[in-house]
Amino acid sequence: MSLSMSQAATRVDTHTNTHALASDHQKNAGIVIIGAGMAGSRFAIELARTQSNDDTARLPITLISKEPQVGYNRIMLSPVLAGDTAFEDTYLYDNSEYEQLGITVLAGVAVETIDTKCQCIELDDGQTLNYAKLIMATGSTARVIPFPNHTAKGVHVFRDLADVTALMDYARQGKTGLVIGGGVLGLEAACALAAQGASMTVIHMDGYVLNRQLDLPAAELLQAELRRRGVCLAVSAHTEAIEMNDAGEVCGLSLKDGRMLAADFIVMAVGVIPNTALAKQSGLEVNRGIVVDDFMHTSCPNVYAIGECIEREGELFGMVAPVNQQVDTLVTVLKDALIKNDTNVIDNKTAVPDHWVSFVSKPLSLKLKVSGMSAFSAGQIAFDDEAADTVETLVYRQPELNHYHCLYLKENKLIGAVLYGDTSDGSFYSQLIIDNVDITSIKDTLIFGEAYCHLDEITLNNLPTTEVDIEFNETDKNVDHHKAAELLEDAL
Amino acid sequence: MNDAIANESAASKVVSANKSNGLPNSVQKATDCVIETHDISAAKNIKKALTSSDGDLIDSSIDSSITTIRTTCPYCGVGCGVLASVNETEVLSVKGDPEHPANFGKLCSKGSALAQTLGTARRLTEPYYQNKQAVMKQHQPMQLGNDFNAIDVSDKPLINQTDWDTVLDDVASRLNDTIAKHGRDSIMFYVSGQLLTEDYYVANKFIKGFIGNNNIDSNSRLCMSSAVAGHKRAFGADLVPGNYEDLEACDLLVLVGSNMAWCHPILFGRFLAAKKANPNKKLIVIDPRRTDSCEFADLHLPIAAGTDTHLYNGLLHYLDQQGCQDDEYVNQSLGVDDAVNAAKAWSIDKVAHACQVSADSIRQFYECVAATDKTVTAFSMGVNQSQSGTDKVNAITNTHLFTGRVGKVGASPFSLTGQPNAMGGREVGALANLLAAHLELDNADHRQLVADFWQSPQPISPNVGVKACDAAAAILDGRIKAIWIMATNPVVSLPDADNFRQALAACDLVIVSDCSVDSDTVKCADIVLPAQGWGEKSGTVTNSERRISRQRTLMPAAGLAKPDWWILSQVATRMGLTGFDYQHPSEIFNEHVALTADGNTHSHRTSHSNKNYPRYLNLSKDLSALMTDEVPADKPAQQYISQHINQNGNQIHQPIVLSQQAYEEMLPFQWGGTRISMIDKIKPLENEIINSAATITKSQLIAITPSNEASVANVHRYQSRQKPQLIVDNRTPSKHEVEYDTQSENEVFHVRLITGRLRDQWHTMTRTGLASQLNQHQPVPTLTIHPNDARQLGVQDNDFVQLHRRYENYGKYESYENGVTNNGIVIDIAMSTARDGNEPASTVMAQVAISDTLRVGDAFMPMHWSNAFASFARVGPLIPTVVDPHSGQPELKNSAISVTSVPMQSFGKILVHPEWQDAVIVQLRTILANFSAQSSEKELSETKCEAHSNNILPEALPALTWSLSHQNNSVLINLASPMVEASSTLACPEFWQQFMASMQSLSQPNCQERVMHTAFTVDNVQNQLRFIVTQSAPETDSNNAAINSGSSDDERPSTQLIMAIYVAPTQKQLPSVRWLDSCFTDTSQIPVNQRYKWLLAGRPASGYVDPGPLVCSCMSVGKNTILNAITQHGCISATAVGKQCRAGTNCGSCVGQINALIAECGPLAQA
Repeated sequence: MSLSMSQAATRVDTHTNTHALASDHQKNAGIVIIGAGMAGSRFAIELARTQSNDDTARLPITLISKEPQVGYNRIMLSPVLAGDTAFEDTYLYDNSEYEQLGITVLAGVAVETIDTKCQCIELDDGQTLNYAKLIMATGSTARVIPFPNHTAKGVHVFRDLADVTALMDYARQGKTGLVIGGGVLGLEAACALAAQGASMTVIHMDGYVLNRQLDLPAAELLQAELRRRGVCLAVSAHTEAIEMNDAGEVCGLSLKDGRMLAADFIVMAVGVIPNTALAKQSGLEVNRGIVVDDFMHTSCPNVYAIGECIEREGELFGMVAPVNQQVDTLVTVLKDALIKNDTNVIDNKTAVPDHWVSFVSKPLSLKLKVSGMSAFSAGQIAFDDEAADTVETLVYRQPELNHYHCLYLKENKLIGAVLYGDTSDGSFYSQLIIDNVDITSIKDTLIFGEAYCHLDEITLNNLPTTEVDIEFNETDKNVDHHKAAELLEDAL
Repeated sequence: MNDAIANESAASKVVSANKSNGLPNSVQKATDCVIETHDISAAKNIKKALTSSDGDLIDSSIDSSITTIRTTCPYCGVGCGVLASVNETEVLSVKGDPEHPANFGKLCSKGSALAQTLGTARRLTEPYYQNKQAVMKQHQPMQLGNDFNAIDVSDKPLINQTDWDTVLDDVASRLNDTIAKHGRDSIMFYVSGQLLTEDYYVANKFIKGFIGNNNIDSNSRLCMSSAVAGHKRAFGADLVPGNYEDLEACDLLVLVGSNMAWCHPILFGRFLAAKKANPNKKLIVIDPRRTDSCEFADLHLPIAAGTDTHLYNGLLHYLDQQGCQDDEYVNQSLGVDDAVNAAKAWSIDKVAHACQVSADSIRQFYECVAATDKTVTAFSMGVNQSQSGTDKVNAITNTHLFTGRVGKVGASPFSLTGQPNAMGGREVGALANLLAAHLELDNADHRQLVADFWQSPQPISPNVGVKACDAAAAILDGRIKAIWIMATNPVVSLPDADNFRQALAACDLVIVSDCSVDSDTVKCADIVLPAQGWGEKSGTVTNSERRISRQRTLMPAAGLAKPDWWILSQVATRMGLTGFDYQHPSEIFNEHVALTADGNTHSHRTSHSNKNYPRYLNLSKDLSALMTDEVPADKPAQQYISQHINQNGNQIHQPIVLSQQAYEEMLPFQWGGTRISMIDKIKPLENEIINSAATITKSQLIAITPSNEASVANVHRYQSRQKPQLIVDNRTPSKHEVEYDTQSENEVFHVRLITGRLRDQWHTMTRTGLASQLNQHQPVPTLTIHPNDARQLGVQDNDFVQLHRRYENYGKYESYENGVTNNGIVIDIAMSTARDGNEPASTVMAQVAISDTLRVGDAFMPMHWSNAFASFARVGPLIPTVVDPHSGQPELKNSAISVTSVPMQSFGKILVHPEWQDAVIVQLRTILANFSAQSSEKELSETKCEAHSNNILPEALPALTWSLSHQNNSVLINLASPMVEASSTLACPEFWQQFMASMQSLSQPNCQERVMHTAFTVDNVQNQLRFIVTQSAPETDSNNAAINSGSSDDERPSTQLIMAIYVAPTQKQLPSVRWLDSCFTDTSQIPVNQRYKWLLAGRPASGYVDPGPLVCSCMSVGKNTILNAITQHGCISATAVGKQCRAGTNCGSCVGQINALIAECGPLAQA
């Protein structure tokens, strides 16, 4: 209660405070975060929270946001488009939280250049900021495939609030739309627009939608559900060209098989491209994304990168969970970074402090955000024929309710999960996949979900053969030692 | 129609107290209370006006429609009194009758569950014609023989419903035709100890007096015919010298071949109570198995099966040596010297060697008997069901006669009969070698007397009729053309049961009257007649101590079911026979009473008759106080006692009858008085015997010369008489010979098969199988073997084994033939025509139960399982027909079999709504038939060598085996499959979805009312499947049925579970069923969004403690609950456990098990 009172009191002079702090900051080089998306804003808050416990050692934090809206949850844009959620509800943190934690937020400002030698950056409003530590959280941009006429009026991506506003207009007029790309975002957009009144068709290259995330039975259920919701599907469909009328407006789409589909607008949902221009121009090593090591260091000292803009061991990250993990890793790296200069860079990992938690890429899970339609997947769910023989599947089906769960097991470990209809146990399964534990003792009830699987059984049930439990933890290179240790502790 | 008349005449009256004056003690004692009768629906009942001793009687004043009726339990021979609380349509509850002299208010687990077995479930309710061949083929799990398949059965319907009038006329004319075409001897009745005395009487009169042959035998042939034969040899008549009080009065009770704790629990409880009051009383148990009865024994002699005669010869010798003889008795007895001389050879050491127990324990036993004058030796099926059963009975009786311990208080041999009315059957003579009313079939005068009494159209045949074990041969060799089977299930219970089944298939006319659809024998009938069951029918039964009690009607009959006496009388009348116009069972009883008095010098009415045939059985004497001189106006007097007097002399017409009212109110009484004291009664009888030249003789000791091979288990034999043919034909040895010659000893394990009862089941489970709590004790067919044998066989608890008949060449056992009397040889000749070595032997499978309660080399399998309850657990086909030469009783407890282990690929449990039970079984049979056909095709292509190198028997191993047990709300089917392909089919959701679809299409009228839902989980690698079917209340708006899928079912709370299928590679992976069973009535305790997961998991997600397998059936207490009482509440005695959780507090038959649990876990708890 008293907290909210003080928030209300401090909000009045936010602007002046910000400027005061910014100039203050120039003198005392601190931690500067470029990008206030989900990664940047979360990192700012998490680091400040960690630091606030130890006032003596703190460095000032500055969060720079290109968009005027700071720290909203981009993945919630689909519900916003569907009209299920108000945009205001997508903010991750209240403004006052930044203030309370002493974070300087510079909103609607872009970074022009970075001088990694002087450790300073130049903003497009002319300001220059020194930094002790710089965090690149520049995110990504929706990918646009340059089909013929891709610049026609009515061709959109679905990335930010502006896109939402534009697309909603079409829907409310009951226009006909096409979504290129049957991935999560494309399906969410199609459903949202259909729900808002548009007549939608999804064009997908593969044999079934969400082919990276779902197995065939789940995808079939999903496709049936999409059809029930008035979203048409064209699978195994390859776009030839976008058709444009004389006014330069979209009027349809032609496929390589010769089909023509009419459309008033087209949403391209074919993935994202990391925003790396600034990094590249600043001399950071960039491949598809900004190259980082296990502790989020870029190739430059005191410059770090997190979020969708990074690339680690050739892998890009577009999901919330790994981004959060990266944030957590970087917090361990920087939480007691004092004035002392950082010498650890890529290829020089000789002195990794004990408390640093390295970022480990884990199997990803997916959750579809369309109301009344839930699909979830995690881990590995596609196998070549040879691998398929060694994979055990546990399937649950309730045909009338269209519930489908499929768990993929290998050597008594959960390696993948697809849930359709009832996804309430998704996080439980993805945790099991991440933890990579032997589930022999709970295998018979695993398919029934967390309520039936007492995790302490994993060790308790095997008490007579305790040494086995310890062994698997030690020998498996992918295992999360901390988690395993916790499990053992719980059991004892 | 006759019923209606009978019932109209029933009037409500109060019996005046002075009626009881002059009654025999036993009757008088019980009539001290006022009894009044009421009309309730179609029945007349007795209501007890006084509160019972424990004050727990349902107070009829609360609800005037609830009445308490006194009746008698239909299970074992103890014959316990039952008080049934009934309303107008059903029996609400039962409890023990505190005033019945058999049980004084106690009931065992089976009796306590009687109310659960009533109703219309699994009942035959109307008469029908059956396409026997087709139905048998459908119900035979394995392929039948070639002849059988040749019959084209495809186009006829399986069943044709009919009405009583048509079917009775038809039966009558077909029986007449059969007589005309094939002679009087071509008809046989096979009756049962479940019939009431009145039914029995009519059946016996019908065939012996009117059809004109003695081809009537009872399933009592399998029960106590050795006791009858032994009694007749020893006492000259079928007398029971002891009674129940002797068990309490004795100082030593010796149980021989009886697991009394399980099979006669209430009587055993009476002894235990007396032993508790006086711990000096001793209990010695003689049984190859260490049964639960041994729990309370001071000494257990686990003698080798079949060696009882050795043991008792040795005892007689010992008693002689110790000078224990009772001179008075011995002087009055015949054959003493012979018997003692024959026993002389049997020293303790020799006995110990023969019986395979220690000489010390035998000496201990002998010393105890010698020292205890008040010794009761109670024996049961372990004695009777033996090829030397009669000798066993006499060996036991010899020791009692020699010491004068007969018919005295606390000292007597005592036969525990297995069936509710085995004794009644003996009284009316419904066995092939008995006449009626304890008269002798081989006595021409007796036959004449009975024929005159019945006014038979022709003399009664002097020839012993076809006995139970000869029936198959008699049918197969064409002597019997029509058989009428009543209230018994010989396709399950007879030895060589498959042979009997084949015989029924071949028989021109098979009529079966029964009350249950779950009788395998019903499936072999051409004509099925629905008989009334317990609670519907009305009449009398006689228990093991000669006590006659009434079974009374408690509720209206199911469907069109009729009493057996009515069915028989109707057919007889329609055949043109006179003397069967009975309207009421009391008329039959009166006639039976009159016949027991007829020519009986004890009858005060017939003293001037020229010929006297004195017998103890004289019901007119016992009931004289209740008799009236008045004959109902509408009935001719001829059938009553006066009738015979008029024919034979110039007596005044003075009919003596029991009025219908007196019959209805009749209380339990012992015929011959409370005690037949052999020595006192023999003296007066003796004089009369001399005068009348009748056949009653002195009591006699029988010299017993037991065979040296008494303990050798019986094998199935190839027929030596066919051997020359075989050689001429140059036929290859039969399949079995090849198999067993090539089997190595490791894989085929030889054991001796002992059969017997389970605690909570009765006969072929048609009744007890309906009560869920009675199915908990041993829910699946088991074969119990010793741990050593299990180790050698390489099996563990619950593993599956296949049981095989063992064959020997006839010639090898030529010595057997020497020991077999003429009777026995006749059987063997008859059997030879029946068997050509190619008949298909039923597969028998069971799950191993390892227990050191058995001797090494012995195996025990319950007798109860039938095709209706298990696919391959009928034990009968394994048992060779070897009968006692004197009694014709088959040896059921000493069969040579071999056992092979059957590795199962997968196991399953199916819980199904009772309405779907038959459909699921048909579905399982389909799998079985498909894969059997496939495997036999496969077998043709594969070389024999391969099959043999694997040492499996592919042609005999079924693709699937199952057993079912009724739960409270559902039917549980346990199944297992040794075949990968069959396992995959079982674990295939599509297979069950098809089944669902077919069920839905069958019930189209209901389709709109109910919505079915399925859910399943499946594991591709393990062949694991969980599949449930639920049914929800009708959708109010049918349009949105499946469209709004997410919510429609979830929001409906009234979902009911219809079927739940679980298939897994190990039994451990299958859920327990208690909680699931409760979901068949109600799933409201499940959160709607969790519904399918809970049901598929087979348990709630948390907070559920399974009570475990049921230990106490009466109080429904599970093992886990008892363990909790022991470990958590420190209960270290059965009494303490009972106080804590009520286990073992009713019949007490589970106390042994509770004590074992205490012994196992008590120390742990204390530590």
